[in-house]
Amino acid sequence: MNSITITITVLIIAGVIIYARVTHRIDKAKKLKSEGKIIDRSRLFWEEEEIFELDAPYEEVAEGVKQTDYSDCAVDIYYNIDGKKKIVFKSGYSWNAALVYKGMSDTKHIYNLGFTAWETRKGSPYDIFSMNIFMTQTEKMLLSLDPETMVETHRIQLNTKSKFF
Amino acid sequence: MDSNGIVILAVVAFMAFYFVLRYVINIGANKINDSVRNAYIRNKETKNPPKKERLADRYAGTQYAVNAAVSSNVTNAAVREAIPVNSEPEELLKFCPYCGSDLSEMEKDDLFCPNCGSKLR
Repeated sequence: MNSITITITVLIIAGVIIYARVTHRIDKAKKLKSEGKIIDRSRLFWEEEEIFELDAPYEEVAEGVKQTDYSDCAVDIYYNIDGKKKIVFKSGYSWNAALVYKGMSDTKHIYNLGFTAWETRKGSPYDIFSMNIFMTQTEKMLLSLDPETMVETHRIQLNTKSKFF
Repeated sequence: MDSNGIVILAVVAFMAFYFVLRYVINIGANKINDSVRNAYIRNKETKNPPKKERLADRYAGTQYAVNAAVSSNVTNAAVREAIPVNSEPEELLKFCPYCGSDLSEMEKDDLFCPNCGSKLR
């Protein structure tokens, strides 16, 4: 077997592997979308925070979180962190998120939802699907509490930390 | 120290230097990258502040909106629009997206193309 044959074989194998990975991701996204577990979001949605205005006090939202199925996100949930009206989600997929009660504006309650930390691999979080599922589940829960929930999306300020190894 | 010891020491020293240098470069690169990005975002959001939208609009067209409409009889426009199963005759497909055949004769409850049998809804 000469070097050209080896090179072509390696390229074909690499192409097949890349194609299989891309197809697998597309299929997974389609499946999750058809199941209603994710929706289309902006390209860097994990770098955004969402500010919700709805007609539900913190206690109702905390109860809603308790009843929400987060099994696809592998999260541990901590309520009332530091004595504040704040719910923290720590995922086994190397990301943390927080839902924070910010007070009232007129007659509506304001909540802030966003990712507070995430580990990256080649510039992207380890598992974007789990992050999308988490956002989708939480948004659906808020929507079930108040169908007229309003949302405002902001990009957050980043502070990247490096690991030694 | 014999020559093997010197080689091992040199390799360890080189690796330590490599990791420290890489770490320092990473910290610097991340700081520059973050500050440029954050300044760009601040500037962009100052010029074009984000607007409020209805959360239900994000779910228009999804299965969630359909379930919500069916289970809670929510009457807002976004959820009504979200129901993908066409209930009005004028919303029916005119042509099959798979074989292109004319569907004007099709009943509104038909799920499959009469020509090619593809699932339409």
